[in-house]
Amino acid sequence: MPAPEASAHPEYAVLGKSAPRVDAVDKVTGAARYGADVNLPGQLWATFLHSPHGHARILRIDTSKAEKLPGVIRVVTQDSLGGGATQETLDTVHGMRLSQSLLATDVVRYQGEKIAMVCAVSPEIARDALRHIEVEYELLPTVDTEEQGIHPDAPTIREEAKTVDAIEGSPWADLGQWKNVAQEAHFSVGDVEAGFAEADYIVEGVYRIPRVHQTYLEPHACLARVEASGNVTVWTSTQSIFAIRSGIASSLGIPQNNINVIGQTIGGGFGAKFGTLVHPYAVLLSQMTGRPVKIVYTREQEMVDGRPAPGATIWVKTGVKKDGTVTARQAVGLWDCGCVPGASIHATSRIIGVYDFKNIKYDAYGIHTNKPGTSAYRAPGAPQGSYASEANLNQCAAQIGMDPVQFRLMHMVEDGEQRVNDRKPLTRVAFKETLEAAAELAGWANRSSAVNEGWGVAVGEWTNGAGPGSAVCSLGEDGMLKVFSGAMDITGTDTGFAQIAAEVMGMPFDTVRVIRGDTDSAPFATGSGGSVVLFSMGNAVKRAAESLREKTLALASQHLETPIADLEQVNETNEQGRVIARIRKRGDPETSASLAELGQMALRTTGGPLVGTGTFASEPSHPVIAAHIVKVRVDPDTGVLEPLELHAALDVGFAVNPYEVEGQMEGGAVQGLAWGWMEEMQIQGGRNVNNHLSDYRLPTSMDTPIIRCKYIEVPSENGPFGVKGIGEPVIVPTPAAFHAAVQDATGVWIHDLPLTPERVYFALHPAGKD
Amino acid sequence: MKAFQFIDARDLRSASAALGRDAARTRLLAGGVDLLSELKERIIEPETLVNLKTVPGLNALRLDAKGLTLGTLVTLDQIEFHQGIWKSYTALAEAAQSVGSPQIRNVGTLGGNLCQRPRCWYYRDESINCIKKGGSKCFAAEEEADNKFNAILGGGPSYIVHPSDCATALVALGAMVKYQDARGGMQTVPAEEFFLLPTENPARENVLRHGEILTEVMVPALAGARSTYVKFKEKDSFDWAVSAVAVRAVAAPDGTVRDIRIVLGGVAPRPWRCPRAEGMLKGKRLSAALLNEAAEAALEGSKPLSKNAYKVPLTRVLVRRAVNQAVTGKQMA
Repeated sequence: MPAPEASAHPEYAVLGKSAPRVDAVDKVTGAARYGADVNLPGQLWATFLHSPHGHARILRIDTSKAEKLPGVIRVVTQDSLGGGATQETLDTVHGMRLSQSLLATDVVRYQGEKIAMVCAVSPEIARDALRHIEVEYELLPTVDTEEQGIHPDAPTIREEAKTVDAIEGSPWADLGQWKNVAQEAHFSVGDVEAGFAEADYIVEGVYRIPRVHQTYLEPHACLARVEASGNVTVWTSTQSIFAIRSGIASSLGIPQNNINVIGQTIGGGFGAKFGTLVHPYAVLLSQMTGRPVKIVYTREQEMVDGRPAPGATIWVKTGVKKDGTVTARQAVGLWDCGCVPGASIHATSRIIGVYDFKNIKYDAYGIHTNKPGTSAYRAPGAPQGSYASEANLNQCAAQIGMDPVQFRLMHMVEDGEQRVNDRKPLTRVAFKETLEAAAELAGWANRSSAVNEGWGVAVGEWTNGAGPGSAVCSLGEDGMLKVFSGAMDITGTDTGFAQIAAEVMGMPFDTVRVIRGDTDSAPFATGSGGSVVLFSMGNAVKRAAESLREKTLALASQHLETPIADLEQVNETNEQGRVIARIRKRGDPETSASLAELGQMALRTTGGPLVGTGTFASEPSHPVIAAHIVKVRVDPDTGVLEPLELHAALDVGFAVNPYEVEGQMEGGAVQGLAWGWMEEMQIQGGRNVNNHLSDYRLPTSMDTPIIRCKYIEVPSENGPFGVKGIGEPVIVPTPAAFHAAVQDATGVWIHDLPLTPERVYFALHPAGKD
Repeated sequence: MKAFQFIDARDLRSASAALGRDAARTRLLAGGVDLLSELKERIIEPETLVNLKTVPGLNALRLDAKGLTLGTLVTLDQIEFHQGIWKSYTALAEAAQSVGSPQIRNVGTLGGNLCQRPRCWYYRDESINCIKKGGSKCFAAEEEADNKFNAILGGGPSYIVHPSDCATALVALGAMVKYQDARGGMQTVPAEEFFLLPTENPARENVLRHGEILTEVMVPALAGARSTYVKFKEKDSFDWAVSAVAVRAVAAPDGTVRDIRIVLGGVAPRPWRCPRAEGMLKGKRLSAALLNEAAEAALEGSKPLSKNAYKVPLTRVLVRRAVNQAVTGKQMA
């Protein structure tokens, strides 16, 4: 892979350079300790009896045989807990709290729902015991898709769900009413009917994008120990130790201050490892047994009882004039939220996009199906909503014979302009520049295609969030720097912290260590998701380093009897061959002190150790886009698609570490491509049929095309050194870009993702003839 | 996975004795790739594993004028990287190379590849007692089932497809399979007869009864023959065939087909020979029309399930490509 074209940033010594990851050696040598790597003497193992059925009434549960097995310590059902025990999950992505009984009582609503848990001396015995739990079910009819779910004759999944009036003009208007509605959102501005009446063409379609699993390599794992005092310690792999702490506290009524959560190295989360999934159960069993309890999910458990990304079926209608004017857009989004509310249905708003469209109306619904609830997956809701919106825009461009890049540039908003859903005019956005960068990278204007090849383009927007957090920087008596916080590193942010602290302190990168605290020791840190970490925690680290620098300079000034303004800092090589920093009087190199000397000196002064703290709450950011251009080849005889090239551009604000940026850009593009091309959780009759990674198709390095990345830097106002969040936008446009490339190669729009060979084949050979 | 006892076999006889009579209690271990996944998923829960890798002599590979002889423990990796096999038995090398991943091919054996169990996801689901596991029905055959990867030919009462790439190639190459029978005698059968249809026994995919051990595969040399294995999978690594075609052909200098064997994989419970298509091609020179006719004939009798109709036209395409490749040595334009 070619390196991204980094602007050199000569003004910085450490920032803007591809410093090696601080965790690289631990990870490649196997020294890193993940969620499942912690064990304690005397620990027990727990696992769950998951429902084998998608929808069933539980008539009887008999655990007596399982309890008698040698090695089984405890078998727990909701009845034996006293009925009222709940798992409380704070969904920080959607800003909602979800309350569910810990174990199923009368009805199971998805295959995988937890019915009972077994705690035993070994994982094998715990698993064996599951077979000895007798459950009698009365099978109920299931809902597999959101389109089945809204049907008035569909089974009722939750009594409290609503039935709503069908939206007129939508493809499902004839049903009259829509059932199984868990949540809804509505938006309307301008007059869409008048807009449609003005249009030369109406371009509409129903775009389907499937439920996919985040497929982090590391399944959920947790070890809990409850001491006689009642104090709880939990070791786990998570995106937020503080969210796990509050989730356990509210689920089990334990004071938050009595819970310590220790975050292990994370083997991928992508949004699914924010809240609790297995944690309260391990704590509860440890309370009951007085012994440490460990739970490690298998891949099959992850597939049936994880919290994947919702699929969606979105109808989009656009009015467009021959000159490219968009007169109105309307959408109805049906989102498969599973058996509980929580899907990112608001992303139906993506029909507004990064454009100047005026007449907009959308109605969005979370529809119950017999599947587990959903959770975040890298830019929650955005790839689904943007797929529908951008695919429809590509169709509009084709309808009026306008180049899809030009069509977008014609409508993209700029600084000072305001979209129909913006509260204020936009600042520091670079939508046009980003799309132009992708077009230039791909050679869009002069692109060529052989027979059966095609090109597609799409853009995807994201605005990074911001969250509260604090970091501590301390200078040791060895002149080395420690950066301490409670932030989890899911994307290389520890390396970014080290670069920021080194730059501020004027120290070499390799004299900085990043230390992760647990919830007992570290101040609060926002969860690692929403592209917030380098923006928010990076600011906290920057401020901590700045504070430390002030204190260090004050001490140097005092010691060297020189005003701060007359001090300068230089790097020198010491006797051990290490580069270390030294502060000296300008024009008088003899009047100097190394940072090590200052670190030692601080211990002997009344000031004490040199420590700086930095805090950050929340400050606004700016929307960015990722622009993707895909080239694909189709084999019309078999329907096989081969992505040949993927060109990606992104506004990153400021690239602290170009290689890390490129890694995010490539990783997001591959995930987005996979979503459009081969990934899909296949659920039939309430049963997940492809719950192994051998059947759940993910691309490998052999499948992925050449990916070329180019980022541009329009600095943000509030991010440290201009950083904008980049983890999420990079997945958003790929499904739509791929979809358009396939149309260009085949001449056919196929709106049902993923575009498997079979789907492409039957689209090209409607009668099934070869 | 349930705990088991592990026995290193000293020779074939002791391996057979250790296996005993009860398939539920003992299993034979070679590369262990498929066995391990069955153990992990609790599809099988034997009390004893008998390790065949400690039996000397089972990993011999011999290539001479008469043909190719492969011990059952020869790894897929050895086949994949053997120049002589690429030259004379291309279909087998291509089949071996198409399996799984480099890690799997490093430990996976030829015998294990031929004896691997089906990938049908209903069979692989611990909670489903399908006909292959002694139950009463094939869940894949149900109208609402997701049977995209199941059989379009030779199905019933089970609709699995045979998962082995090498099996398809070896049937096309006219290989013989040697095994030690339950009484300790050695038996040799054509590869074509080694694999069974579910009508013969829905619980098994081949003639081996418990305690019988596949020991060797022999591929006869055939002067002037050219072969190929064309595998269609949905991604480039770690995937089984949606459909595959192996062809071995002998063509005259003028392109006339003198001899041809066409075998389909991934579409039937065993490698599926296409005698009528072979007959149509013998004695003729290829043309687009003839290839189309042969492809039609190869798929005759196919009966798609509710969701695998795609396999029929797909396999016709693969037949045309594979036949053309084996007969002319060139890829289709």
